[in-house]
Amino acid sequence: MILSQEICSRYTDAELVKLSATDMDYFSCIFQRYEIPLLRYIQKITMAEEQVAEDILQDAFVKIWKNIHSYRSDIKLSSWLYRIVHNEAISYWRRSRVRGGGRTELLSEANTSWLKEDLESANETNQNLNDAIYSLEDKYREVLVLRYLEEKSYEEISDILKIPEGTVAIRLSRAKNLLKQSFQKRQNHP
Amino acid sequence: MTNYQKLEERLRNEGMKPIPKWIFSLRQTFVWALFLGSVVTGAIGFSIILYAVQQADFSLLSHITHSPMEKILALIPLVWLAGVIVFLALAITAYRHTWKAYKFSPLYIFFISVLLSMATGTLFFISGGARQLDKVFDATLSVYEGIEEKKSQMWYNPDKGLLYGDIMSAESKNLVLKDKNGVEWQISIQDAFAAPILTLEPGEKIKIIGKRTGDHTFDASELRPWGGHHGKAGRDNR
Repeated sequence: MILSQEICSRYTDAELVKLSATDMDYFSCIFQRYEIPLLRYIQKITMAEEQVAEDILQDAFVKIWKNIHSYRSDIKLSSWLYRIVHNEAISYWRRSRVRGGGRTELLSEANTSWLKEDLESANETNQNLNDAIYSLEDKYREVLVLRYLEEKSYEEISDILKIPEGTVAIRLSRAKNLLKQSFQKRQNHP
Repeated sequence: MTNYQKLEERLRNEGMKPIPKWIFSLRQTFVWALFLGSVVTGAIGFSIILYAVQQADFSLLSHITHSPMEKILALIPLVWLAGVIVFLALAITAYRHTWKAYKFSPLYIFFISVLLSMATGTLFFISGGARQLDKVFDATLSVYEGIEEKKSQMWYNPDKGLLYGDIMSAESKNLVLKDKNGVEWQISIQDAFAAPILTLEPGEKIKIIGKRTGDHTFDASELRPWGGHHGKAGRDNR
């Protein structure tokens, strides 16, 4: 049974995890609370179409349900959920890349200003940015998406990707450099 | 049908239940126990290496005809050296499976494990545990050659100027020494340098550097206590 928004809003994330372990209905609160951001994240990281993203999310939530007792409140529930969804999405992404499946656009006009500002490339179109991010190695694309498109902190990215915060900073800096180089190369050889 | 309804239907149809909490707790307990066990075992190995180094008498190497490296390698217990490396690797692997291990770099985890093993090992060595353990292994495991045994082999070599044993009687210029085979030696100590901490009394176990002058006579140039350098860590029980 799906609990109403009104009931769900009475509980914190940690309380919902505890309640879900004994009463499955409360699991619907977690699902509803994070469904949209997680779906959006899956699409950004895999560039999969909506139906595929929903399937990935469902597989991820099966894992979340099975492992609900392993969650510990010393990290944010959202980080833990993103971690599981991320792993599921990446494994899909690797499979689909081998198959050479289609992709959706990664960026919308609304969410690129921060990234463009940081890259000092305000004139780049979203299409160019999209292509450049798409061509990056997984490890660089992941941190860029989490930082600029999901607006996660370094600590949250560290919890999601299970890497030290220092590594997050290094990867982010390298990812930005790679993007800048890619833009410069294109300007020199249009 | 909403996405959650599809999920709920799948969970119910496939009878999926959360994995019990005790399994996760047990897993974490096992990982921590493995980490601590590996650190402690590594520490014991390290303490025995310390004990071996302490007993090695590196200053003696010049008296020995083999190459110094060969002798150092002969004295350091390679089994324990390998053990330390294996358990260190195990400790690092176990730690990396703990809940928040990803917060630290592999290099940091390596240094922490090494430091923990070295600190615990040094304490164990200072308390005399390494020596006792080496003796126990030597007595109970036929394949294990204790450091004491290695040292004894090295120091019972009268033709090469090395001798050890218990003092039977001591005078100002001579002493009588009983070696490990029960043979009594007449030792001239007239020109010998004696370590300051050495007491030349009957019952004292000592080692001697010098020159063989007859079947059972020996001219000493240096006298040292058998137990290496002092303290509980290397002292003999007499």
